[in-house]
Amino acid sequence: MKRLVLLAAPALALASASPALGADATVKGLDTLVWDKPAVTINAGEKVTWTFDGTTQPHNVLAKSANWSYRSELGPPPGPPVSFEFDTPGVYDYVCEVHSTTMIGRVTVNDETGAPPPPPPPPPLSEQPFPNDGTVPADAFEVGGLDTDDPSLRRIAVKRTGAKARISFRVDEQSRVTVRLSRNGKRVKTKHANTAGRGSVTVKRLKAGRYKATIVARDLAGNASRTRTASFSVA
Amino acid sequence: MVKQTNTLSFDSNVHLHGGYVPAEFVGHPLDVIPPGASFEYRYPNDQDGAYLWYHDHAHGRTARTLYYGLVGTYVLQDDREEELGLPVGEYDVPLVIQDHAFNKDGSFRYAENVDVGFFGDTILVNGAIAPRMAVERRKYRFRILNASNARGYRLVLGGGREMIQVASDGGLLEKPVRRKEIPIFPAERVEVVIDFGKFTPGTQLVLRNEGGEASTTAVMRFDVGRGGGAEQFRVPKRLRRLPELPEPNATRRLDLALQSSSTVQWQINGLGFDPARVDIRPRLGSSEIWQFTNPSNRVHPMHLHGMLFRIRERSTGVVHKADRGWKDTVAVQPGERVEVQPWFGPYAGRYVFHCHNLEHGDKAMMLQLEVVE
Repeated sequence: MKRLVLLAAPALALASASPALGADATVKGLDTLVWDKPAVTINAGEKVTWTFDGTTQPHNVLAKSANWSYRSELGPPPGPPVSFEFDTPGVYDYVCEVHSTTMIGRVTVNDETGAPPPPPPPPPLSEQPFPNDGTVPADAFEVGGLDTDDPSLRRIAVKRTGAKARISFRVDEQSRVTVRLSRNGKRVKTKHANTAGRGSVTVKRLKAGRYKATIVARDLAGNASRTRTASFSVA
Repeated sequence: MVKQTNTLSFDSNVHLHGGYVPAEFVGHPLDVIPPGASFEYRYPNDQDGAYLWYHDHAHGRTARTLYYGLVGTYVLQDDREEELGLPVGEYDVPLVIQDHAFNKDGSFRYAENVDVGFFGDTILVNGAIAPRMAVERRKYRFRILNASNARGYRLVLGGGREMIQVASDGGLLEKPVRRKEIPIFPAERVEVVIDFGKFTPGTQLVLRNEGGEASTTAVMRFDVGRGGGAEQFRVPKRLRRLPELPEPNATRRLDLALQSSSTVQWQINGLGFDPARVDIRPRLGSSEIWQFTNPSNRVHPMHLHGMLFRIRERSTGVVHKADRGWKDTVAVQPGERVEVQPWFGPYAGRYVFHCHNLEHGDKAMMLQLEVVE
């Protein structure tokens, strides 16, 4: 695009007796925080007009290179168009004062014959664009989900030796197993075991009587197994 | 006591954000350490347990120094937290969320924007891009800090899973608050308990930012493993009782606006920061009502140094339950009026309050107050 402008300017100079006329440039400030044409080329004596139509952020034009001095008014957006006439050939840099690291512009002013100045050096690596266009599909935010499966409690067995009873069981996932013992209908002891797979609780010093063990397993998500029971007697 | 040596080529200092710190050690923007020199900061740590953080606060340069990495967390614990039995050790995890942009060579890329502040295209958590964390099937405490220059986040877990917020800037809330979406603006902290025990092993939950662009949506991922064990912790119904504040002595209106006619500057009540001027002079131990009024179209996270405040009222609706604890930063939304009640103490001296959209604070949305005895 730039080459086209550079070629067009001398062509215009040949075709017309007054080369400056009609070759003024217009640059638009955008809310994406860039100028629509970051670089324009004109001939000496022509002017550049900056417009800010439709913007909702404040923008202005501030001279950045040492060879000129200019600052346009910063008012509530959208600001009115502003222009500057460049009479001396050279390279003029400017920025928007509010967005000085992204709204960077350059005006290259050729002499009256349209002879182009030497091309500017490429920007340093740190100023070259590198858009991050990686996206995440919306359905990828959760794989799996809540654990709603109840644990299963099986293989209940009671082994009694004298006044001691060992109640064993098997759960199919990590669970907290609660064993409640009641004697003649009255709760006498509660014991817990954390296990995945086989587990047991042992109760000692049991008084004589008829016992009922109520066993339930609760997994890490709080789901409870079916309640199982087992009965035994202590003489 | 923390001895800070400035090995940089320019002035810097350390501000302990959220800490009750005497004025000489709080990191006033003009109390700077010259290059090569050292300074001994003395922190009393005499306050309730809270998730504090520290960063450079030399005036006019904070946006850049934080962006380039001068940020650290400072976890203050207390007996009350221990009593409650909140998850500790490897189950108590600080998460620092920031947004950055990168150059082709991998270096940080910074673009100054005094109006909206810096917005990057990549989210980092504790310095890592899109990290994954293997978690056990149990409860974790996450301390989340938004250390971004200007970006606010709306955090959502997986497909909208519950997080229980237990603390904010100044420590524990009175009661836990169950939330599915948590907004967090620059410099704010939220502490949540997440129960991974509810999920099947192998579940992957992405902590995501609802308000983000395509590349700033995913924050990090939790991979639920098999372990879990015998954890019996439940979040208590009451966490602590917050003290009553003294009756306010005055009401001040503080207008937040961009001044752009002669130079670009964010201002409070038409004033930019002037270290030679004291704007508010409250008495030690007293309190006032400050009405932050934001007619601009930007969010202003207003932060008070060395002291804490409570949010009393918002023109946009009721104050969220999770915002009723001690705060040191409040995000004033565009068009909103937020009424806060600071408590001026426990130390006298010169402090500042400012906008923690760092580009705003640097230019020069900051006023000075002197707490007098």
